[in-house]
Amino acid sequence: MLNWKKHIPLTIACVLTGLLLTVALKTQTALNSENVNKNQTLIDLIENLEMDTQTLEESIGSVQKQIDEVQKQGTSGQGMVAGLQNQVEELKLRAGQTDVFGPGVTIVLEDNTAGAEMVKKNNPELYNPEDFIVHDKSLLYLVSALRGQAEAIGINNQRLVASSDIRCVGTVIMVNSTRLAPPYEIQVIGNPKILEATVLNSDEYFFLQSKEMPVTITQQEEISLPALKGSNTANYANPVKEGEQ
Amino acid sequence: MWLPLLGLILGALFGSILTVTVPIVYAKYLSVAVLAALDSLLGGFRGVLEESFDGVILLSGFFTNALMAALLAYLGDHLGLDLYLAAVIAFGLRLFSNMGFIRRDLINRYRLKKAKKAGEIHD
Repeated sequence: MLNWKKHIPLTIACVLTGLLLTVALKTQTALNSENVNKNQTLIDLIENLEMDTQTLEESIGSVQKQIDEVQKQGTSGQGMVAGLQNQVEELKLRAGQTDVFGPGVTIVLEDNTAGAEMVKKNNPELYNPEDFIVHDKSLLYLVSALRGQAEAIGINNQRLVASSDIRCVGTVIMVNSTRLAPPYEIQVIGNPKILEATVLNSDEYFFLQSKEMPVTITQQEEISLPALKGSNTANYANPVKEGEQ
Repeated sequence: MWLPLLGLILGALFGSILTVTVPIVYAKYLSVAVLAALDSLLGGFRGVLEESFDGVILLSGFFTNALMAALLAYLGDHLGLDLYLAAVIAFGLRLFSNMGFIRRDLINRYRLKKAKKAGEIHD
């Protein structure tokens, strides 16, 4: 009789504890897996969109090739059309619509991993990862400094044109809406000596030097850059014709 | 002594069969409540071993502790204080001290039994 008095309350407590414990465990695991699932769908979404972009870029490339062929067919030896055709070629070159090659410089920017390790080891309280990575601003300022002297610019095989963007999205840099990873390689076609001097005299270069970021500049005899992969048609801007306004 | 253990397993089984999940907002309070419940349970076992067990005290402690722990955590969240830490520390400490007492009680029992047996043989 005394035994029952002991056992029943204890058993009730046990049943309830077991119940609570499993429900709590289930809630926690549901919580964790929910986060993971959410991230996974977002990752899938981004990857799908990037694939879409790639296929669209490829179709733009093939359509442009077709246009080129049609234009060439129409211009067999006729003086004026041939002249216009040459002009189109020239303009395409300027607009970044053709693959180009020529002499120039390559600037390679890398994250300051050695410096980051040092600081992490010696005084971790001062460690701020932001100080040791290449930022979008560095690329932007270097490119801006070079724009005047450069005839063609590319970053990690992305051709820069008038409508190109260099943006920071979280921990990655996007150029032409494509994600890039370090090392960042800025390839510039132009007079190599002038280009190198321009970089060496730019504020951004001094800034990067002061932060001990590894920057290398090399003059090169031949650099080849791809054409812009996306489209840069003007849908809203209309040219002002003389005399109209 | 098997009944409570069976109860624990039964409860766990029941909990995993039931498809009840607590809303995420209350997940923390539930965890604190579970800690309080575990503490009460161990306290009960200790009581059984030390022969000072009282079913009413156990059950009342079980419910009030679990409820108060959850309420304290809830209040803390609304005051902007991590008050649930107080519950975690208090119940955590008691859990460990109860476990220590249970261990000692069990060892003492075992030794007593052994000594009795040895005594019987000598007699």
